[in-house]
Amino acid sequence: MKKWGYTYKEALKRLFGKPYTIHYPFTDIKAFEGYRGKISLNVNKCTGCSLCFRVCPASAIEMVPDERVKPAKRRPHFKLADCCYCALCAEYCPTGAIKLTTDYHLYGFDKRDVSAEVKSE
Amino acid sequence: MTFNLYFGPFHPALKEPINFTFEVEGEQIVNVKPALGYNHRGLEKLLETKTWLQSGFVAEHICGICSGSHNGCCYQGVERVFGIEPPKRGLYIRTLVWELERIHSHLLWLGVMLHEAGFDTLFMYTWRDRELTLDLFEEMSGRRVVYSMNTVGGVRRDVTDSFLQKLKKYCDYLEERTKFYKKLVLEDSTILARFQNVGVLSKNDAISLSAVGPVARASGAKRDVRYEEPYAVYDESPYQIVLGEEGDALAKTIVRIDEMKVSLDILRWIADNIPSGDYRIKFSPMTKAPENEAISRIEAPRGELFYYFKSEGGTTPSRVKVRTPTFANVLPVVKMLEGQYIADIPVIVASIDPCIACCERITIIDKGKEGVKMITADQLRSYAKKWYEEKYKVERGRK
Repeated sequence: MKKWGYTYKEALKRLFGKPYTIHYPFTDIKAFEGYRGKISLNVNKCTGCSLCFRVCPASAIEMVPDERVKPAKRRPHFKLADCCYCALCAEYCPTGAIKLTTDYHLYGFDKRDVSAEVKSE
Repeated sequence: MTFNLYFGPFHPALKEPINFTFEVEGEQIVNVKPALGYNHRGLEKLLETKTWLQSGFVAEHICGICSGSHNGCCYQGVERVFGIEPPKRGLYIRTLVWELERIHSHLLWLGVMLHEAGFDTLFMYTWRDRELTLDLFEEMSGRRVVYSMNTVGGVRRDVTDSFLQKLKKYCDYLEERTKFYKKLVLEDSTILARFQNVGVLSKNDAISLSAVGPVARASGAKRDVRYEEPYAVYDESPYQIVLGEEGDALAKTIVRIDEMKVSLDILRWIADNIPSGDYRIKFSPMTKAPENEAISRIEAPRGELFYYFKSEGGTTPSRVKVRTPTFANVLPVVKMLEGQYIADIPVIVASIDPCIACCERITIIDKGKEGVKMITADQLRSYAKKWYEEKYKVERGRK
């Protein structure tokens, strides 16, 4: 058993020190490398083969026509509110266009606000 | 004269939707009637619409705590349907996930059990230690609760040497903690007063009512799939069955704490002896299965988990049956509650580690009409017959 004064010492230390908890929106905990977070899609790499659409167990992927590219082709649209983050789409993507980032901040006032990153590099 | 006391489906002392009707005489329980059916999700039917590769990802959402066990057990069954044998390294990593999950589940249960007894300090201690396990899962699989580690023919991610070193350090730390927990549970007068001779299940009752998992082992019945029918790499591992004698809530607690120690030994053995080589074999997502049927049994943290698959030669299973451990433990808990006091109900119900949401299989919830109805077995049978007839008519029409 510890000395009776131990609790007072600890209480004084905590009174003037920083809080033990994390101020979440201002400070952040970094996820481990390889975390399965928000999906990112590289449009230039995507061939529109729809293999991701076929393997998705949660039916969270829709193939939609992409009008920005000429000639027009289809690309996946991720409904992240339905997604179970299993990363099968990234695993079976033949060109490596789909990747899962370490970003876990998946919140919004409407579930349609939460959407995947679409890159074109 | 007896009174009826209704307990659940929503009650502060119950974390899960189950209803008990207790016939009480004064403070003592005379008779118990359990009623399941508040949380049916139709997962068996859903599994029939998914391909063999997708099935495991639906299965792991059956339970949030033993998701790795459901995922692994499901793919073990699928592999038996296809006749595939996963590589050795894959099996080692699969066992690692199962044992790490057992520790995480038992720590969670220990916290909840002590919380039900009014010991909230220890609840916070155990959940802090559980957080370390979740961090290991995050590093290994990329997710904290739903790991999705297994696949048909192995596992999806390899483990690195640095991770295995970290795992050994974690085992050393947690071994000290389990010793501390055991000492505390055996010495603390509050815990002994709440747990000793409460909810006793005799060995004969445990066997005749088909109790599974730690509930059966605490009564001295040798019920463990790892012991009866070793799967994956359990026949080589330093596994020992842990048995209790008394069958009361204290014995169930001690059996689970000792099981964590055995799991730590297995984890250390895996970290030292894991073979090098492939960890998975290639599997195409649209592969058709041969006409076959298979069962798969594993020892989940709560007890025996059972999967049955039937294939008629398509890309999807034609029938899937799941039996979760809690479903087998509902009748034993009724036996345990008889003759006990009202104040001991939360401790006794928590002592079987209930996961009611996993075991619901009967009620029909009509989303269109917004109604819930209980149906008899005959009605269910005729409904199933109609469903299958319609399904096969549609398929024949397509051909």
